[in-house]
Amino acid sequence: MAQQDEHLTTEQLSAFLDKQLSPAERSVFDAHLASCQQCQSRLADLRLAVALVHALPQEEVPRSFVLPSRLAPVAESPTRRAATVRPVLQQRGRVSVLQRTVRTVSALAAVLALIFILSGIVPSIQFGSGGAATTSAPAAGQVNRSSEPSAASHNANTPHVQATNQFASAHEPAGTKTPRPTPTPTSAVKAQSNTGSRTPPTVQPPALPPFLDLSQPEGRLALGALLLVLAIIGLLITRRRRGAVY
Amino acid sequence: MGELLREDEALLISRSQSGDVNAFNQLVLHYQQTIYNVILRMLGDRDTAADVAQDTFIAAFRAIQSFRGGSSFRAWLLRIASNQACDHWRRTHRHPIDSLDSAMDEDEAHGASLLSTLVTTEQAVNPEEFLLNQELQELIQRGLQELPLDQRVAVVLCDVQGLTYEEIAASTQTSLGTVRSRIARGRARLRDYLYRHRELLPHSYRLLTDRE
Repeated sequence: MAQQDEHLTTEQLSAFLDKQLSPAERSVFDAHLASCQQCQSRLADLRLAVALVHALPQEEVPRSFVLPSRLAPVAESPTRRAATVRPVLQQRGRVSVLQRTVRTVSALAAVLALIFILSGIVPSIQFGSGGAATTSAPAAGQVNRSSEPSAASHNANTPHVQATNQFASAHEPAGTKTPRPTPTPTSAVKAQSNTGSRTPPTVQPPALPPFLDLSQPEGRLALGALLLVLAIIGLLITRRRRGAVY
Repeated sequence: MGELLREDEALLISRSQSGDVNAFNQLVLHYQQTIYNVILRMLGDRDTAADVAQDTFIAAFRAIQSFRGGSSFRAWLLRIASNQACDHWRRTHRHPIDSLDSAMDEDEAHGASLLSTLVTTEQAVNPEEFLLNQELQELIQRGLQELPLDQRVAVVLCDVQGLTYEEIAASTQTSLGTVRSRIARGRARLRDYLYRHRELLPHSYRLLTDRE
């Protein structure tokens, strides 16, 4: 009774004509149709309308639509475009590899960025976890080393300044006799020991811009943010490209 | 119109993609009747349909780089054709037909006015037996032209060209559910249209029903 109250929808009738009803729909359909005169008539109407449309004859083409091969203004631009587009299409494989690489690198950059930002936010990571410590320690070493050679070369170029040092003044004759054999590393070590004794290494970093100093939380935060921005740009570019290809 | 082997078609397409007009023209020869008839049934005028069909093939040749192998070339071509036809229709019919009662879209209210009362037994309705005269052809053609464009495309591709729902979905870039719904609504509108013009249904129609 309930099934009879709900007449079949036009969509069901139409889909039935094309055998597009799902098996579940079909069983409901059959059950209702068998007992509903009205839906049988509606189905017959729809079938008739479809049959009439289908009976429209296929007409012969009034003329051929082939494109003239010498169709200069029309055909030239497509061929020229084809010539330029083709290599691009052939490169599509390479482009997708490049795209994948950029995506991967961007994702890695994002992960690194998060690590940096986290280590900048949570100060305990700097002392507690080894990861943050190892990243900051070599960086600090680099900072030291980058400043030392300049000092060492400065010393080597100006022996007179070296002479002002208390050690150098004592060994001045030896220093003048063998300026070559003493390589810059040893002088650098000397300089380090000198500066080390005079000024602690922790004082040196503040001379750099704070955003480059990785031993400081601000530095790691800044680097993290920079990496994050780069990662987002990379991901956005590859995503947009992928959409365009489709 | 012989059947085009799938490999041959793929070859012709790739040659067309490198700018070979002659290769493309073989595809034109193969598909031009289908394309012309779809456009004709959508627009209803032979001269216009010929022009739009020509535009369709020019547009297809220009855009053939964007055709991706593996999908149906016919569906791709039909998409261009139906888009061209819809564009033309919108250009020339700025004002949609207001004469059509919007209530006609929902046909459930017209349950009493049944078209099949004109036919004694619906079982005997066999599409192949219809031989429409000129008047009835024109009547049905006008009925198609009263359909909204999305329903018209779906009905023409399904009931005139006999495409599957999957092919229609590919051609119109819609879902199967949308295709099913558009076809059903278009057919219902057509049925109501035919019923409203039942007094115009010419002799061939009655002759057919009388014959049963």
